[in-house]
Amino acid sequence: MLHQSLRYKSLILTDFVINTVPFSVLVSSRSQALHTAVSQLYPPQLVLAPEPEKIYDFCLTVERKWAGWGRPYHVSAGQQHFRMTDSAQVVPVFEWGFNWCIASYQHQYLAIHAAVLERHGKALIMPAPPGSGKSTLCAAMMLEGWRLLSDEMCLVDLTDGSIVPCVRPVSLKNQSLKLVQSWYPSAQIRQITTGTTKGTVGYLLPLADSWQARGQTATAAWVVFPQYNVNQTQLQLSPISKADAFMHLANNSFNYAVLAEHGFNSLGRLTQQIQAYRLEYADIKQALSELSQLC
Amino acid sequence: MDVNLGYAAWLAQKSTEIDTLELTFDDSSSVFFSLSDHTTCINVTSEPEIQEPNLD
Repeated sequence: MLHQSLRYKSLILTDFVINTVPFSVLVSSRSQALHTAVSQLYPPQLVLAPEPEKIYDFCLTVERKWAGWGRPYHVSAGQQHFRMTDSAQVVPVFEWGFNWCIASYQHQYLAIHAAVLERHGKALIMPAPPGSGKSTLCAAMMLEGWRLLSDEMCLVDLTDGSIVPCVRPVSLKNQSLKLVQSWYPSAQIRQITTGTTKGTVGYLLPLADSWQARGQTATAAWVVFPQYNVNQTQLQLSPISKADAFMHLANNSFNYAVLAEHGFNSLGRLTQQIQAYRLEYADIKQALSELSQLC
Repeated sequence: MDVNLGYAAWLAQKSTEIDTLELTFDDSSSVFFSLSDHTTCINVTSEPEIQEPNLD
């Protein structure tokens, strides 16, 4: 998908591929530590040696530009620079770089910033800005038995309207790391990094059934806009009009504007088939119970 | 003069109809998309039917 200049140079031993569905990313890195960290986050069958004759969807380069160990890593895709980072934060910056590639360069799907979970073939989509508790709720729902499609990216197939999984480790931040671990002691949280621009970040590993069904699409059925509010005395689940839901979904989309008429038609079809609600909660157990009854 | 203005208004209206897509949902709410400038807006004159959540 991107210009793959890496195909024209020799692959080095620390290069690797993450072959998630529906995207594959070739990672060119001289950091053995990054490969080791990624191997803790993704199943071994998805972290592969690159094959020069293959074309991958994205190429991410994570390398020091100049000699010396004090130099920061530069994360970039082709000629496009994403971010610099020191070695202590290379894992979250790499994961954000992967998100950035999907959000910026793929347009065969309508991409919405949202968590997506599935039960009985039907997808619950939860779009929300940072700080709304989306990822915490998503993590808890997965650990309660929902199948994770994504905690970050709702991909809508432009041809048939199905919701396409993009299973990746669930990014948890700050308080939610301790909360999720205390609610679910068996939850596997890896690669906790402090001092990032988003605070402390760690990654919850998806459960085996989510990884195994990573190619299995779902039908959109519900859209819930969650908002965690510590002062909320009683949970509120309020229906909203489909036009309002449409506008909120469009505002949370990475490429609605790029797709223009196709985006409008695709989002319209999705909105027609869902029920939409706003959820305000303080107690996650109440929220889980309410969503379990609703869906 | 009146005829000319009327014709101009009709032209503008036809142009809007051709340039604008409208989606009306099953709760009667609707949204518009302009094919000329790619803007999307909600139809504020429609009155959607809000239904209570279907809970046991």
